[in-house]
Amino acid sequence: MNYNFDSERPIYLQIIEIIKNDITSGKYNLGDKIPSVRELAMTFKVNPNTIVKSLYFLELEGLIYTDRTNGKFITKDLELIKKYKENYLKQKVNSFLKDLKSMGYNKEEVIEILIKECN
Amino acid sequence: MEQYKNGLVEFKNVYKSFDDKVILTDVSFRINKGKIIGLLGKNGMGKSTIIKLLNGLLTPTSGEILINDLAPGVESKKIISYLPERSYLDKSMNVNQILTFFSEFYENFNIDKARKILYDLNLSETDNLNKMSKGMLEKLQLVLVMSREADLYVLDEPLGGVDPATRDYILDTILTNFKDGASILISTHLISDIERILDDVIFIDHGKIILSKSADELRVEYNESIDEIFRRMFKC
Amino acid sequence: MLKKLFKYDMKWCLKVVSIYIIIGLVLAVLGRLIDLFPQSVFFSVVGGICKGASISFGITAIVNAIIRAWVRMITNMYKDESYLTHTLPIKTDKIYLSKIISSITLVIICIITLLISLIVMYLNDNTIELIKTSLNIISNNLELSITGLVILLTLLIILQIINIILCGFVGIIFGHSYNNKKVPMMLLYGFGSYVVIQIINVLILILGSLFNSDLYNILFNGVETVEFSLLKGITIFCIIIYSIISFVLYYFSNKKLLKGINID
Repeated sequence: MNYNFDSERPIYLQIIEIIKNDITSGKYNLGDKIPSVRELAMTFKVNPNTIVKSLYFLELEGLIYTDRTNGKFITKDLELIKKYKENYLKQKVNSFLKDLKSMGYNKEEVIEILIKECN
Repeated sequence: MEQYKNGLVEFKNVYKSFDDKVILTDVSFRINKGKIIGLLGKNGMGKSTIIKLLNGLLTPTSGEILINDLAPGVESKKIISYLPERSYLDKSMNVNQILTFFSEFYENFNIDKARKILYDLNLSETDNLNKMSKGMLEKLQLVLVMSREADLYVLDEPLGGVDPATRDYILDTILTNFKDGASILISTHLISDIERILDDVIFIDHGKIILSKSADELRVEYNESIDEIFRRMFKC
Repeated sequence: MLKKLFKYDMKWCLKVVSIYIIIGLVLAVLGRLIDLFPQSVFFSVVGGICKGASISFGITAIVNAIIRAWVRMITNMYKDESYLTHTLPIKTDKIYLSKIISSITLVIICIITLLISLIVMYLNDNTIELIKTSLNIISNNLELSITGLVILLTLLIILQIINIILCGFVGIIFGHSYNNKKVPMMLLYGFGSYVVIQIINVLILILGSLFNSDLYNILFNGVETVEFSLLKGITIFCIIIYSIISFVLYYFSNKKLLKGINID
């Protein structure tokens, strides 16, 4: 798969987002083993150092952990993932609502269209 | 993140001129272990001169060049794998003879790895170099260079004059084949193709180092791609 | 490392020279075989052509060896290939030494082949008789056998050719140390060093004549007969001088090379 990165932002940040998406979308399940740095570098076609950076920050957030002998894994902490998914959804919705509000829509209009479109 | 204490390569106040033509002025920079560095600048600004000095193909007019704390010489040539912009192979040989040549003179040449990659490229070992297309020759040279387990890979314009598919192939080959913990110095004027893999960038203009920073730092500082920053800085 | 460099230098130079050597030998054998046929105008003409051509090829081989050595030096050390040569983990003086040894070896091979061709073509009962009688005369006068004389003269020729090759190398190395006008400087240093060597030779001979009255007579008084002992003396003396000159040429060109190369 060809990843087109936005060269105006640090690439490691974009990779962090992609991996986070993979976790929330279920592509990576809890406890899954993550491919090695080399393999990820090949997949994303980036510098292995960039992968190292991304994994470092993901680990800081607790979304992945290192088992010294076996490699890196997605966290088994269901609560953590749930909380992250919730926060992500909240963020997206708030930014969505803000945009619409600035264009003049009110809450009732938005909810009506939302329900219509979701069915 | 880790801080690398020992610079792999260090240029200290290097000046280079030919007779009265000054090419490099007070060039100082450092390459650390395990980093991919872009030496970026327009053509004719001094990139190739720096690379030749690094490889011992030129001697500095003044200043010091250190590779693992030694001046360029036999020891540094053992650990540096250099891909020049030009074709440097004896065209009267065939692929097998070139492979033998490399393995005879370079202890860290991984001939099996090279053979495998060439096989994937459909290059037969009995192919004669003077019958190969320019594109094939360039790929062959790249494979030879990346098949060495070197500490520093120096690639001078590896993407120059090739089609996008080949460019992808070259980037792939570079990323998947360099030795763990090695550094790569890529010199190019085609920045947008290569910037995604760079850790650090060095801008050079008219023989002077304009800046030397991490790529991400620059992106965050200017909110632009390295290519855009470069174009803005060096508008004619 | 030196052995490996030597192998590749020899391979490259032999690529062309070997053709001349082989053809020369084949023609020599052919020329000799033709002698076995019943003698007629046709066969003696063809035989003569073969023998003449054999010698011609033999000499061309030598000339080719010299030129090949120079071309190898230039392309391998200063043109595109130099980007590979000078990034090999080998000291520059070893690379240069390999060029010198391979060119000397090639020249010796060519000369020996030429001698073998001559022997194949011309050695028969008559010539052996001629050699035996000459042996008596010369060994009496020279305290030297015919083989000894042949060896001395061959050595002299080989050393002259080595000097020519080294003058070329000096020209190449010094010429390329300039940033502009490389080719004119190359020719200047190359021819210049050869001319200087010849002048030195003459000066030494003149100097020698001050100590040796026979030599003085030949050089300045127009005496035409040369004593064998003088000839032997001059030959040995020239061999020594040429050897010294070869080392001097090697020493200075090597020193210049080690100062550092500047590749375009």
